[in-house]
Amino acid sequence: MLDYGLAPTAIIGYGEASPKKTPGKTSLEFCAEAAIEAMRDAQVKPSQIDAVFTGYTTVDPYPFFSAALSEFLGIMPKRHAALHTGGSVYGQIFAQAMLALGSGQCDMALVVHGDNRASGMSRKETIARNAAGAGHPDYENPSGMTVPAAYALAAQRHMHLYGTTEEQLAAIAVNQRRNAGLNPNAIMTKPLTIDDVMGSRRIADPLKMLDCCLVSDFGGACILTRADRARDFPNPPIHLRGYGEFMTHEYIVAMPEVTETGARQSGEAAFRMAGFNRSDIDFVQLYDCFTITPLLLLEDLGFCQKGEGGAFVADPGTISLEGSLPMNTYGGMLSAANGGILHFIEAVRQLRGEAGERQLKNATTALAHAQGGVFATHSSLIIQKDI
Amino acid sequence: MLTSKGSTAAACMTNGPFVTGLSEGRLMLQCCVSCEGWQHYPRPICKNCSGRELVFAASSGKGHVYSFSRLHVAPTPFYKPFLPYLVVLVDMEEGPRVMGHMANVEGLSIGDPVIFSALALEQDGPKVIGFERASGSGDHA
Repeated sequence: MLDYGLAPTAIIGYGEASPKKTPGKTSLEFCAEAAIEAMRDAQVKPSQIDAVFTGYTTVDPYPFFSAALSEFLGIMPKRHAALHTGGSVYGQIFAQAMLALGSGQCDMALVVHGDNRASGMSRKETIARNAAGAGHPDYENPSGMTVPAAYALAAQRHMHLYGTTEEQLAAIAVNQRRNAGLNPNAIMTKPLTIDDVMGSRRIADPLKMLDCCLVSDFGGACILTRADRARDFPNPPIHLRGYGEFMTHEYIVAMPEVTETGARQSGEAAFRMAGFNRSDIDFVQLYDCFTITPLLLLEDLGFCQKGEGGAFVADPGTISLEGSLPMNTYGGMLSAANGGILHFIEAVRQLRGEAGERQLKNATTALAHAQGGVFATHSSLIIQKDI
Repeated sequence: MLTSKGSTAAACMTNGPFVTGLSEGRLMLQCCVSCEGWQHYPRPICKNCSGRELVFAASSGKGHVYSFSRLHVAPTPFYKPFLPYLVVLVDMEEGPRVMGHMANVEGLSIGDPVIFSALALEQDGPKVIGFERASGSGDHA
């Protein structure tokens, strides 16, 4: 175990905004809805919060997002930041809270991310922004690449090197749709078969429509405090045990090997801090912008060998709710809603025993992982309930 | 810059010879004077040895497919008429990996030899990094 001289911290409340498309609702309002629910859950008032860490909006014109949100909620924080780091931000905001609380600078932190990515943009704008934001403007975009194509480059090479199949990738989408069917907040709940995924519209070979995540509205928030203070609040604390982060590149043309991600280093750092082994993890919530993403993450986080991810996810005894390592138990970004913050919310919800029909039995320890860019930046968080 | 009229690399302090070279039909890669290592894309420092003296030299144009994807959905209306097309990552024989555009071909495999060609997607339009299948023993346009 490695505590970096930080006092232990814990999550004492969580909240989720409905991801159902709500025209007219801003990114701030999605964040506020989740934050207010998290404060209600933790029995905390805005005046008690002295640290606010947020992501960023890709839609609305709020350049200083954490300040705009703090003001909106009536919070005057000692520390605040809006991290603009891509999809890994969802883990990084927890790390910021861990540092601010654990070092004694602050007493109560709000971490929150939400955006109106579906209702705030037209379909055309969404496609244009995702395309323009995908690659390097000078060395990649002129080729005509897209976000799905960038991930497809990794999928294609993984298939070439290790014999991974499109059906194995499809198994991830099928499993997550099944989980989404047990999640009242999920957007897509109609059951899928492997054939449905295989027959869906081709986007960028080998990825098809149902290999791609949803673009939706979302919001999620957590309240954190030091573990020694957590007993003063009503909910069972969920402890932050380990955290790690790593970045290897920004643009996929500069990624050393497209089938090997920085999740290896971020995961190793998180496990080292927690003092845990892979076998200590009961379930995982892994960023799933495309089906290839969690497949590579499972390998790089050490839950299976490099190259064995395809066979691992296709085995009914692994990632399903009844399996040895349930993954994305709420449906994930592929079926429930966009926004990797929900991976972290679901991990907390499962550990609190509040996941309803999809509740895992005897789950005490979870790993949630977020990644951004095209496998560029990684954050891994290990959390645990009182045992 | 990606615009509705197509796109190519825009010149900045670091990449002038790359941009000029592409417009004239050459793939200019950066080479470090101290360690003689190659890199793409142009940067102000050698990523291998931290050397600050970097020069540009034309690539032979020969490389092998590192990975590729066939696109069925375009990023902007400009690219739509070219669908389906390939986006390829190519390891050039000098070492650096380059992303380029390739007209659709069937049966392309990772490891296949390809050759660079500066490609104007539109007549008289800006040139982009393009690739074609190499026909056997490295004949070079």
